[in-house]
Amino acid sequence: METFGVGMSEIVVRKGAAKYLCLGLGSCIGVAIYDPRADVSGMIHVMLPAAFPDRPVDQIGKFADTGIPALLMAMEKMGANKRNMKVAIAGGAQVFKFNNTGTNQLDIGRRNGEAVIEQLTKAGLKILAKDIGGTHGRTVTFTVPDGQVEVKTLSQGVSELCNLADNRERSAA
Amino acid sequence: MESLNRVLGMSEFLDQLGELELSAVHEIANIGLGNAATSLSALLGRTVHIEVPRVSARMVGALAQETLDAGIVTVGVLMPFDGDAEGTMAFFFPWEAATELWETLIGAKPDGPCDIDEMAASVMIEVGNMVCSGFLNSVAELTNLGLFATPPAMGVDFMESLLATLDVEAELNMRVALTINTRLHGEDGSALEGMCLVIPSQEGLVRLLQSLGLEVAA
Repeated sequence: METFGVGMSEIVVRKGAAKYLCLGLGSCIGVAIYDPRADVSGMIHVMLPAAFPDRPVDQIGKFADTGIPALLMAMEKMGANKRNMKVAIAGGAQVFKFNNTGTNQLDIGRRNGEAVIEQLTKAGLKILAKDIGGTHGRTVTFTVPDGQVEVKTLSQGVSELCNLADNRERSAA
Repeated sequence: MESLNRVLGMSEFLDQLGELELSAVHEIANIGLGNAATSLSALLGRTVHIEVPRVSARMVGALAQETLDAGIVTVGVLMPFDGDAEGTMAFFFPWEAATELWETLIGAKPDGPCDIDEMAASVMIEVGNMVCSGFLNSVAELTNLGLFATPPAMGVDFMESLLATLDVEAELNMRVALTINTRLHGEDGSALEGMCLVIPSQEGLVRLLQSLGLEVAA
């Protein structure tokens, strides 16, 4: 099975068997979506919550507010249906812990998490599983057709986050 | 004048950073890290040399992807700086090098990357602080720019996760990453590998290079 690395700001959409790899998610968020009926899957590696108002969008997948609609549209074009899509998200950590001064920079990880959830909710998608926040980086793998989403961290090793191929739980449209 | 004031795209800007500019950065890095090595030697009570074998400039957003050190447990100290040029600077030690530093400094090392107590954390932050401020001070002296360090932070994780954080930080502020590969070693030849990253804003880097007499347009 071919492995697709989903780099920062990238969107990858496939029909049929595939393995996705989102390496080193710090404050970024990896969103894995699968429509088992259409056998269409996709993943995005979101970097920031929203496009800058004063800069052109150079890469649509960079921002939650442009990237998630684009991912969903690309999946729909390949025959996926939002009603059958199952979603898992991971990332949004703050890997560098600022010492007692409390200068928490901009807390991008948390804002990314909120923005991603907002976009998915707006599209009517239910999130089957999420592993966001905290202070550790994550590497996410997502394989189809088995639908398995795994998260690897330094402290916990590899653990299964959820299975997106499970048809019993149909998300509400 | 219009065209002079136009803000260049990141890649256009990077194109300007040729050999001359990078060798200027290399020279600054050599001096700056030499200074940092002196402070580190004083702290460790033994002579430490820092070499700078290679300097490269690149678009940010790709650090995490391009790292050859993916999967390597790394200790990173990050220090934002501001003043006449602003940006972020970071120093990375592979886990083994970090434990060596801990053993030298406090006579003990954490059980593992996930068991770092406050003592160990503050010692490492202090090392990072020293290296980064030593670097910034000598750059400030060389260029006559006012550069001010702000309180550092530490992260222990796989290299790619630490770098991803810097990618995002840089992306937010239109910054260029200057990767300064470093090799620390003691007099007995014991190597202590580390990597230093300086991520100045475009504007900051232009000011830095201009202060060295190099013409670069922002």
